[in-house]
Amino acid sequence: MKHYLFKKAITLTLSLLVVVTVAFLLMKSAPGDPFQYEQALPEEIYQQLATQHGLRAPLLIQYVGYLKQLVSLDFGHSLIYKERKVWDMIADGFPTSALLGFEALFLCVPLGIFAGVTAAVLKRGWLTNSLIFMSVLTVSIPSFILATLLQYGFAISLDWLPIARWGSFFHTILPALSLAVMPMAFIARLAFTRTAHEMKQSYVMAAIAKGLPLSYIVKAHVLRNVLVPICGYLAPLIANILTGSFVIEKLFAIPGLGFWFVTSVLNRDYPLIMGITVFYCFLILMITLIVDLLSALLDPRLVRERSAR
Amino acid sequence: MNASSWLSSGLCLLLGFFCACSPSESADKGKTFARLSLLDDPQTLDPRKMRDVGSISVAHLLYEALTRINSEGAVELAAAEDIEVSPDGRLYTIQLKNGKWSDGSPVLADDFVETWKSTLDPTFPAPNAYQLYVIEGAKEAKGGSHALNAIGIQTIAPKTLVITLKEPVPYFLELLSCPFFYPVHRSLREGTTGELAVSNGPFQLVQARARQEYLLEKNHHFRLAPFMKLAGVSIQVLSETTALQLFLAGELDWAGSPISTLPQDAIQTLKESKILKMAPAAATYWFRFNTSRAPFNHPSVRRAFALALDRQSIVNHVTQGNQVPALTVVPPLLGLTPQGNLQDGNVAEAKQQLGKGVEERGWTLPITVTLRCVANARSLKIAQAVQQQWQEALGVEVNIAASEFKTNIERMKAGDFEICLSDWVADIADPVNFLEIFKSKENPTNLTFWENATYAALLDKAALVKDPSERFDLLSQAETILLEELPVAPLMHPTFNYLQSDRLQGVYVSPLGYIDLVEAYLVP
Amino acid sequence: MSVSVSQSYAQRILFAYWQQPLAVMGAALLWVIMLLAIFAPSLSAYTYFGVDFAAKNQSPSLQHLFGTDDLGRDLFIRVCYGIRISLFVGVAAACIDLVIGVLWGAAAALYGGKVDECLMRIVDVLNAIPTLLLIIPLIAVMGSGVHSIVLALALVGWLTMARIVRAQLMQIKQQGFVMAAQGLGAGFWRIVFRHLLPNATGTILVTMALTVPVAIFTEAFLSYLGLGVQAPVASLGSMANEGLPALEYYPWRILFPSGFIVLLILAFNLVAEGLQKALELDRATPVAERLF
Repeated sequence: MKHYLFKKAITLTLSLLVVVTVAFLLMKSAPGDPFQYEQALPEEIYQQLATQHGLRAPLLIQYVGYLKQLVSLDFGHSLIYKERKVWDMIADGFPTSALLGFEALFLCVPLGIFAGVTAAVLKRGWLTNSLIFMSVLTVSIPSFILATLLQYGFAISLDWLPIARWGSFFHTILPALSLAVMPMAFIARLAFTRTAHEMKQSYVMAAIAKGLPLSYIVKAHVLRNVLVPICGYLAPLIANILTGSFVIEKLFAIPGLGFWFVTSVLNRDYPLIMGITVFYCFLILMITLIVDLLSALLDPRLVRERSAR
Repeated sequence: MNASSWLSSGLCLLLGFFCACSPSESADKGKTFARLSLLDDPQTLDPRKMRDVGSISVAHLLYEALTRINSEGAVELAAAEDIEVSPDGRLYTIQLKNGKWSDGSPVLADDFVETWKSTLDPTFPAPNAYQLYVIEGAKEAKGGSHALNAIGIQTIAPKTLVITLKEPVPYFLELLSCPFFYPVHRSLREGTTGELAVSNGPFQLVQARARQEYLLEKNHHFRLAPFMKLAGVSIQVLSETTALQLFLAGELDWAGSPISTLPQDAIQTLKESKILKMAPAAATYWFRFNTSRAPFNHPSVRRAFALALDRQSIVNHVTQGNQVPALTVVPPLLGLTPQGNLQDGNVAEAKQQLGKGVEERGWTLPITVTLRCVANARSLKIAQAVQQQWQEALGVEVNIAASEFKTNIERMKAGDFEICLSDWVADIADPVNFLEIFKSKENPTNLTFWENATYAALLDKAALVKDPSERFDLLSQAETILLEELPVAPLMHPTFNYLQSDRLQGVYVSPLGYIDLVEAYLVP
Repeated sequence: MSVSVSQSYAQRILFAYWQQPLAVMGAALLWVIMLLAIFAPSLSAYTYFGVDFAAKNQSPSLQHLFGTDDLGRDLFIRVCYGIRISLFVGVAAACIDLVIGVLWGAAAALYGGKVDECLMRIVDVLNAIPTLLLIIPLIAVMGSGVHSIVLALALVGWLTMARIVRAQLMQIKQQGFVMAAQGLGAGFWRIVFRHLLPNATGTILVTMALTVPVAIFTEAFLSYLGLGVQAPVASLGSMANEGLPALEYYPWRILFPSGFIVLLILAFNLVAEGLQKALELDRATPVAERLF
């Protein structure tokens, strides 16, 4: 196990390096830079600003300089929000996005799995059809439209919940709901398909013949197999949800990370882009590691398979 | 542990967490503070580094300059007690009032002088430094060839400073009221302060939470504090639709331009319910032509496109906020009287002009041009409407190339466009602010590749004239040339469309795009 | 019903598909929408770009079936063109995702070990790079337009497919027939296409059918940021985007485009569902016939 983890740590670092390099190159290749405004600056001022922030040095020097900064965990200052350090902005925004994300995950993962598995196991026509219908419906509405409808319905017309902003539990209900709906439908469908397939397998028939109760069969045997493809979907989902959704955060005026990331790319705020990218990359690689471990636990055949080579 | 107990414990955890977080104090402040909304966070709170609307709007509330523009649009003394101008118009001797910073320390001449010197320091990132180039030695100091001490600003007594200009500037007193001439407290200059800097204006910053709320309290050391009735301002950062919703729900006192915007689709309904307020803006929307490329290198073609525009219908149907169709480059409210014969929607003459240009250059029809703009809702609507107008009137094929903000700027700078929808908002309420743009091809704000020797000469001459009416005469002549040559086709002069709650009164909206709350008060 | 012995695989599947009412409905819905999108514009006098201020923001009527938008353009025709664009973007991107994702996931699952590690590591790395960073330079270089959006969406979307396919195939691989085929000397392509894929088709189809909406929505998000299709061309997503702030005042401007998005996705899902069931029904036939 230790060897496995150690190998994983090395690959994590290497992946981080690759991502940082690719992101750096992509970022620099986008036209424009942070100092351009509609009312343009005189050339010498513009060049001065660029030089002062190290943007006129050759690309390689900038890259190496940035790597050195990263090693000492210094993400630098934002070029647009001039008095803020990148790390402070991330530390401010991430807990908010993560909290909202966890709330959404609490909703969508258990409910999705429960709905999908139950509909497949119980095999009632109306249940299956209504599940399919509901999941398709919710998957078809883009999250920003759903969020606007929810906001309009519950907050503006009925006045049951706050319209926007961040501050209490009630402020989180609508945004979390908007975030959770599409993944919930996806997970439910995935669970349904897999469970339906599993229920036809011979081992299930054997267990039923043995006289074991259905709920036991599902929990002890079928569920493990169902969770594997869901885990495959979970890793990117968690990383995406935790780092926030730009549209939802903009609509509900939530001070989270998703908003900062999109804004920084549009503003060409290089330190902030790199900072959030590195953070996001680290997060997703960690989560992938954890989910892979979880899959291995669920289905030992996968680990055995790997170590056999 | 089974699923249901997992769910319920998770929910309890979350609930517990939130109940522990109390709602922000702004709930109580809402009663006595004016609640405004901004579209974006201020990018900086240091006046020397500001360039964006958010920062400048907040700076107007926090700082006071030597002069200010009052609600009639006239310049009056603010932090300055007395300003003496030498007969040749180049030497300004300024005596300060006994003003105080929000921490009680006195406002001194050094505060102004040292701030401006730091702006002109070549190692300091100040995007607005070029606005100070009217001062002698400023440009050279910023370029690094002069010492900072050689700049024409000096403290001769604790409360007296002297400014020496390169050449006389008739509108220098207006220029002094702008944010790039604000003083900055010593602690901010020396870097010993946090984000909540000390300021000398009507309000001081007591809380700054990014993307959430900025709280400003009345500055009790401000010279007009005894006359100010507003206890403070709470500024939230909200998108335009959310701001509108919150305003209609009674949770905001202000929504809309100039510091934010209103959703385009709501304007008609708000106008009909009579709650939409409007204020004139010293700004112009125009179509920039690339005069170095065909077909816009022929003035008749530019004239054709300018004449074929039906501005009134765009104002009536697209923007709908009672904007003013623009037949001059400089907004009429700035007082120029050019001899322009630009008309709105004169299709017959437009066709004629186009025919003339095509014939003289021997081009083949149909002509295809690309219209660039930023890909936001407003610009796209205007672009699509105008595309149809030009297609119907002139038979030209117009392709729209919309891109996101930075890409659009980059393309404009590179000259990679034929027509581009842009705008200009005045820095000072003087027509020269618009006219200067076109003085030289090299001017970074020009971007049309047009210049004209007679035009430049007129501007130079006007700079030396003392008599305002004579000066305006010369400037009007310059604008006449502009309206003959048309490096830009003016579209309209925007108006600020905003909503103001009934309980907030005494707000002054400046045509330059900021709000003045010195005389504001809340009706209980 | 008599089933002739010489029926081909495809015929059998189609037959099984036809047995399900929901699936047939889904396919019919898809056909109707496509026919509408293809033929309706030529039957109408209006165009999707014709600005007519006098007619702006009108609610649905006999003259304008879906009403008009804020520039007076007939919404029905714009929706038809929008369906074309959205369909093209969604399907093209999903197809590219399918090809790359399946091959990638299959290679990882089949070869296992170091190859698997390497391939999936690349997937993780690409996943970690924020989408916007990939898209903005791409669109800046290729220009906005349908082709660059399809490319951008495809580049980003195949990762989920690869991951899910690999997870699924790793499991299937455990079953005896794969090892048997390998023992008999079957090559990579044969194993993938004859043995692994038919058993994973269900999951793949479901994933694909649910990739199409993601592609359509990502396109709408890009329009929101100014990176989508060029005006006056509009996709359903960008029209929904445009109509969003007008929800309170002119609701038809968002309801009709969103409504069609829902119908399209519903149709895709029902079709995918039906295909999957058909494949499963077909599996009931003798094994020997299946391993052709």
